[in-house]
Amino acid sequence: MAPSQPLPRHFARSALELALRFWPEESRDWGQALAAELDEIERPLDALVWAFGGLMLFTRASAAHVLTWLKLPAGSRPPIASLLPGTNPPIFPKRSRLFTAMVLITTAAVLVLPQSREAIATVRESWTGYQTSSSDLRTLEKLAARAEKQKDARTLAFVALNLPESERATLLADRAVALDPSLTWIYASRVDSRNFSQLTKERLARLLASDPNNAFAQLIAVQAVYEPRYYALFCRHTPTEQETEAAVTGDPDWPVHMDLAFRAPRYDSYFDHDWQLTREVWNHEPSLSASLLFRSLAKHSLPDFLSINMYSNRLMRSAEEAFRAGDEERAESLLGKVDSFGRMMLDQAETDVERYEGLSISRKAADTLGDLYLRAGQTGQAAKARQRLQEINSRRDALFRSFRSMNSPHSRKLKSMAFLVHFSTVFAVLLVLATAFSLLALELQPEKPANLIFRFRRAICLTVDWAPGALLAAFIALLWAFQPFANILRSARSVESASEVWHTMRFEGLFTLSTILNPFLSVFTGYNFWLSFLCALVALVLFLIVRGFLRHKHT
Amino acid sequence: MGIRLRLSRQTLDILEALLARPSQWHYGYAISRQTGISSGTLYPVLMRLDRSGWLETRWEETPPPGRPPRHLYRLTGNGREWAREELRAARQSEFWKPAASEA
Repeated sequence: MAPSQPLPRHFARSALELALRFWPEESRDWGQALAAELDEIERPLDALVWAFGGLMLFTRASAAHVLTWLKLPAGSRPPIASLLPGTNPPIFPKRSRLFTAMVLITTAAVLVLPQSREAIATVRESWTGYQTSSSDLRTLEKLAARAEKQKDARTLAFVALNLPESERATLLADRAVALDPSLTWIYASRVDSRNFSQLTKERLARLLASDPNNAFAQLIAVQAVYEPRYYALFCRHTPTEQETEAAVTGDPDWPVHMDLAFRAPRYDSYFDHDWQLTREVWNHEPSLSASLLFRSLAKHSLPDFLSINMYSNRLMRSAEEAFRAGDEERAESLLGKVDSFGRMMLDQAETDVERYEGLSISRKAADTLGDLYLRAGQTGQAAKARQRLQEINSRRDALFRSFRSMNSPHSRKLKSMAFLVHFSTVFAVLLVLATAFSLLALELQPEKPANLIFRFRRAICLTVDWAPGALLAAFIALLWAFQPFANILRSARSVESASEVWHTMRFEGLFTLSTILNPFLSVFTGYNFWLSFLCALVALVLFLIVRGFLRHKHT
Repeated sequence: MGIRLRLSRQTLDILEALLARPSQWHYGYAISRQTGISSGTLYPVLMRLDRSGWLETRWEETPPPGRPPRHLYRLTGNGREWAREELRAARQSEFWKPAASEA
């Protein structure tokens, strides 16, 4: 049985044995030489000091080994192992590991910039059609938790409007309204067929009570009445016109609410309220994703056009009957009701589609009136109606002119930038994959003789030489190309009017990013995505072929 | 003749110890005891001398049973000349004094 060693000697020996296990190959014999002297040292403490010196030597040797390793290209090792006789030395990339590492670190530093994260997040969201991502959900839940703690009704309302899951969203909406009854409008904002069931009679009653003079609230009430019935019908088959009319107008509450809507002095679809709320939260939380911003602009509720048109037609039919019965006053009054509702929508709505709807029904009413007077031979009154019609037409033309042209030089430039954003991102993704694969292939199989995988090794070495630099260039290009869109997002924070920001987003380019880049939105946008993907892939392959050919020519 | 890089005091001490019995092989611990230089300083110097070709090394041929072979060192022929020259230059510049006074 071996005599037990004093603790310092035991520790010294164990430490050196451990160091020898990891000692760099090129200087391991010196480590062994140092360790071999340990048995000659009489005093245990001297042995411990000797071992400490050995550990210092191990540290220096390891550092020197790493430095040498970094100076060599990927896949190579410090020249220790001898090659098998008769084999050719494998080819390696030209650039050292140190160079590659520095370029990749610089790329990572660029990626960490807030501008880069915004660009990448926005592009990534555009590829998924700006659906609520899991990071959006986490952000919203965090906001909700904080808002509940601080009893912040407006932030709770914002979260309620943006959560996709309707039961949880409705719960938060109830809490927000309980804290601040002036937020009752959120029940009517962003309702669609998926969440109409959450608009219970109680919530609807609260909405109507809080805003009785708003035509939009009445229209929401109308839709809540017939929506479930109409939706059930639609699920079975495509309904006929008669079936649609029966489903929509069949409820006895329908004409009541429509009458109240057409008599209401105000029209407010709460778009502005929605935008103010979004802007308020967004200015406090700058890291909110572009998806949340787009959804606040694109998902707000629109009025029930079906009911508006059906009720307008009903009033116009009644006007025709009244006119035929000789009651011109009643006919004028009914058509005037339609016209004034249209004017109210035109003057007070926040979106062009609502304004256009207002113009359409006013136009129909004026046209009908003109026809009626003409048929009755009352040319004077017919001329007045025609004048009204001309007024409506010129307002419609003004509305169309106010759409900034999608083919203006500014829009065309934004479309080009959007394509470059897309191309840079796709190219960068391909380069990341190519770099990672090539580095791993070289480092994990460094001793593979060249004659076995010669062709692939050449391409791999070429990729390791050029891909990191190209990756850095791609990310810088992405940052540069995204600048106009980043400026639009930034400037949108300061725009107070929902209508103006919707116009800006729609025609000034941010939606250009969302529509041009979204591969699934339409065939057109999908075409752009896949085209840029193909271009990036072709560019990469062409580069490898051309560069490889030039290298081959030189050798 | 090019620029002479000044050797450290520890290197000069090690050269002096190796030159004390120039044809004899020296153990690492023996050099350390003679010069008072710790292993963390001694072995890098020995490694540099070996890389420069001034030092020759070998492993002990028949180590005692149960113990690993030890490493032995001595200056090469050129190494001895070079070491003498370096020590002389160091003495002259009063940068270094020998451990034992010379006759």
